[in-house]
Parts: sequence; structure tokens; C-alpha cells
Amino acid sequence: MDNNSDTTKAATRPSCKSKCESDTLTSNINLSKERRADATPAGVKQKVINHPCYSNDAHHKYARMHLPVAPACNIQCNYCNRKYDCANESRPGVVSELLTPKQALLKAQAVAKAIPQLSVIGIAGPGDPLANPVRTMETLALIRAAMPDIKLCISTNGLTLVDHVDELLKLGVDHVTVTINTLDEVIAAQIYKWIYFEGRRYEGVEAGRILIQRQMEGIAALAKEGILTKVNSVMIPGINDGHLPELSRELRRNKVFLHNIMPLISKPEHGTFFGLVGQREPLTTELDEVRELAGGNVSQMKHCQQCRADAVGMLEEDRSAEFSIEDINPEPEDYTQTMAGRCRFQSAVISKGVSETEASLVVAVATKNSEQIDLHFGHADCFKLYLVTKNQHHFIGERRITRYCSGDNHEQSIETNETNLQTTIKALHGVDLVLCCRIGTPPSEALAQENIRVVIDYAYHAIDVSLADIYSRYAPLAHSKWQARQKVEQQKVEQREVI
Amino acid sequence: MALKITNSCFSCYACETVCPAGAISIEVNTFIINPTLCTECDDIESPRCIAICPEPKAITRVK
Repeated sequence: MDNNSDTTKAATRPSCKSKCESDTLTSNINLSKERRADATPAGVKQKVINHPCYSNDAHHKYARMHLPVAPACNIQCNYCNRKYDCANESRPGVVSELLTPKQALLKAQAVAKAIPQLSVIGIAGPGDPLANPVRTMETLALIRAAMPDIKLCISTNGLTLVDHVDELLKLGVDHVTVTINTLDEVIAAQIYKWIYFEGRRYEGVEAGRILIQRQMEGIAALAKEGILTKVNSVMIPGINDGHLPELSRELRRNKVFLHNIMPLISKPEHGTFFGLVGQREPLTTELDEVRELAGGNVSQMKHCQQCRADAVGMLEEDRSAEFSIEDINPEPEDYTQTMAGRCRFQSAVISKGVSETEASLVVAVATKNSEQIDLHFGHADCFKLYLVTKNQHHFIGERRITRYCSGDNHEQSIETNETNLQTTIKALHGVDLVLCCRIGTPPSEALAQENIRVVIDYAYHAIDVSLADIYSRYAPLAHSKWQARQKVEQQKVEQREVI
Repeated sequence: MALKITNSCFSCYACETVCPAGAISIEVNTFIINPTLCTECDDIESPRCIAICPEPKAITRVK
């Protein structure tokens, strides 16, 4: 395992230039005032429906990937030895290669193409994402700008979380996992060797006190902004096991959505403090018992695989080895094509194959509350996508964009508006109809050029009712699209036969 | 004034991330501290790089 240090060293160090570029990228993402994330019941349901780590059902259908861009950490946990890897969020083993933000984007696009089930991209280490804010934010901004159909997610120890919540909201990160092992500073002193905070190192109870206070401020800020929060706790027998049900009560008070109690991993060969002093791992029966007690307060996630900071694929598998950065084409194909293919694949999964055998429409809805068509086209920073067939409709995902027009910001230049509009139109590739409550002339004309129809007749109507009605009105469109697709498929078959 | 990174370093970038003087960089797969830029964090009690470094002997003072 020692040879890990060589591969880590091989990574390119981000230069001052990349720091400057990051500032520009982040500021370009959303120039208008941020809207709180949608925390309505319908909004939350749609956030978790295709996130494999938040939904027991989704983990059979959707894949995730972690981008290893964050090597530094600001805490020394006694269950983690980063010389090899971070046991906090990872299985034993090394992160095979660190990536720069630009390499991370290339890998993300390659994986999105090869694994159409990919729905979420997270940063989970190998250190702490928020102890590497420049690399982390630059990566998130690159992915957000280039891959509108991907959910963004981070996993952090929470020490500096409260300082970054606004930026995470701006980048459209609406899932955050915080590792909180205790709310008791005396217990914390047994779990953390030290923390690094505001330029100095703290140890013992003082370190515990600062960390716990910062974590609680962090999750309160997430709740205030409507960002969905999961808390991971490492169960350490004899240290925090008896305290976890109490912790879960406090998490409930703080509107934490999901609690993931994970068993301590402490094999001596991993070289962690706990591994070396013989701290035992919990038995499965002990873990089940604690989860049962904590489950009365916050829903429990029980399907976590404690995966690596560079994991790729469905939760039960890790295909990261197939996507070594050396093997990835530095000139990826146009992502809009990849995105359209992914949309078709995911539609087929969600409709259980109906989208492959019947005519259908892909409808993008501008909505604030995920229940009604209540947004002006230019005010949407996210469109909800639905697959609509003759007899049913299904939520299939989102397209995140930079708001085309910000009503209250008159300083926004015409050029910026134009760029945002072009990006929005590109992000809606593969969509047949857009439902919004109003739309201006330029975007309406631009959508028409791309053969995307805009419907404003359902303004302020419920999404469900509108979608149930819309197929009958646009059945001829669905059929002509269906026939065109059949023709393309037929041509592909004929080409293959010729070859 | 200067500090030195030894070969116990496993390249976690933590020191480079917190250095206020921009004195730490990676060259030929090794992290180095530029002695002309390093101030040993004379504004505070002890250097930030030593405070965040997870490897006890990876950053030492040059005698």
C-alpha cells in the first residue's frame, strides 16, 4: 500500500491560474440571487428518487461516481489513515489517482456516456472536500456548467461547512452528507486526534467542542436553505454506540433527512489509530440494534457500501479501474448527444420499457414547488423532466441551468442573457415540449428553431393534471417523433447488416 | 526563515492549501517550501503547515 504516495504525487498541482478560473466559473454559474432549494414534499421526493445513496429503491437503478479531487483534510479521525485512504467514507484501499478539476470533468463525461444509469456525482475525498475549497468548487462548477442532467453531492466532516453553504447552493448542490459521530465533546476527544481550525491545531475536548458546534451550525444552515442533509455516523463500540440514538434525536430536531450509521472499519493493516490499538468493529447484531433505536427518530440508510473516494458504478460495484485518466479521450464528444442517450435509457428504466415500445413525449416543466407550473421560463434555474406516454407519466430527472433572465438584476448584460439562453437551449436537448407559465419572445423563437414547443396554457395548473391532459393534445407530435426514431433505428440495423 | 518537507510526506496537499504565503509547491513529484517566500507564519504562534500536516515528521524546521 505504501506505493500509493507515488501515484498521489503524480497529480498535477492546481496553479494560481486555476484558482482565478475557479472564481470566474463559480461567479458565472448563477448571477442572480439564489433561490432556496425546493424543500416541499414533492421536491424532496424528486430529489431522492434517483439518488442511489438516499433511496433504497434508487440504488438498484442508478449509479454514482465520486471524483477524487480533494486530498487535504483538516481533521485527524482515529478511524482514518489517509496515507492509504480515508476510512471515513471509503473501503480499505487507495484512491488510485488524484484528479485535477479538468481531469475530473473528462472522467465524469466518459463515465456518464459509458454508464447511462449515472445520476449523481459527488466529491467525498480522499480528504475532506471543504478542506480543499478551490479544487472542490472548481470541479463542481465545471460539472454543473457542462452536465445539466447530473445531480451534485458532497460528503464532509462539517468543520468548515457553514462557510460554504451559500456557494454550494449557488452551484446547485442539493445533497450534502455530514459525518457526525457524537454531540458530546468528551466522546469526541476519543474519536478525533486533532482538528485544524482558523490557522491552528486543537486537540482533546476543545477540538471536540469546536467541531460539534461547527457541525451543528453547518446542518442548520443546510436546513435553512432547503439542501437535503444526510448524516453519517461511524459506530465505534464502547465509545459512541450508546450515544447514537440520542444523536439521532438531535438530528431529527435539525431536519436531517436520513441517518446512516456505519460500522467502524479497523483492520490493523490499515494503520489507523483504532486499528493499531485493537479497537474492535461492531457485530452485525449490535449495528442492527443501534439502527433500530435510532430509526425511531430519523429514517435509517442501511444499504451504504462505505465506498471509496473514487468509486464508480452501481453501489454494489466499483468500476473505477475501467476509467483511468490515462485511457480517457481528452476530446470528449458533444455532451448534448450523451445526455439525450442517457435520457432515453433512464426513461426506459423508469417506464419499465414502455418508452421503447410506444410513442412518448419528453416534457420539461418550469416549477418552483415541483407541484405546479408556476415559473416564468426565464426565471427557471432547473427544469423538471417528465416522460409522458398515452396512459402514464413519470418524473425522469432534471436539467440544471443558469437562469436566463434575472428579473431584479438590471445590470445583467445582453451578452450574458444571450449566453445563458444558448446554454439553456442546449441543456434542453432531447426535450419535446416545455411547460412554463410565461415566456419572452427571444427564448420562444430560439426553442422553436430547435423544434421544441412551448406550452403556456397550463400556467399555474398542477403538474400531474397537466401532464395527464397533454398527451392527447400532442399525440401527433409524439407519433411523428416515434416514427422518426424507428426510422433511425432501422437505418442503424441496416448499416450493421452491410458491415 | 524556512521549513522543509521531508520524505515522510505523502502528498496530501494540506500544507499547500493553507499556506498564506504561497510558498509551497509540488516539483518533480515532491512538495517543496520556497525559503524566500516562507514566513514560518510569524503572524501566529506556529506555522499553519505544521498544524495541519497529518504526518508527524513530514515538515521540520531548517536549522
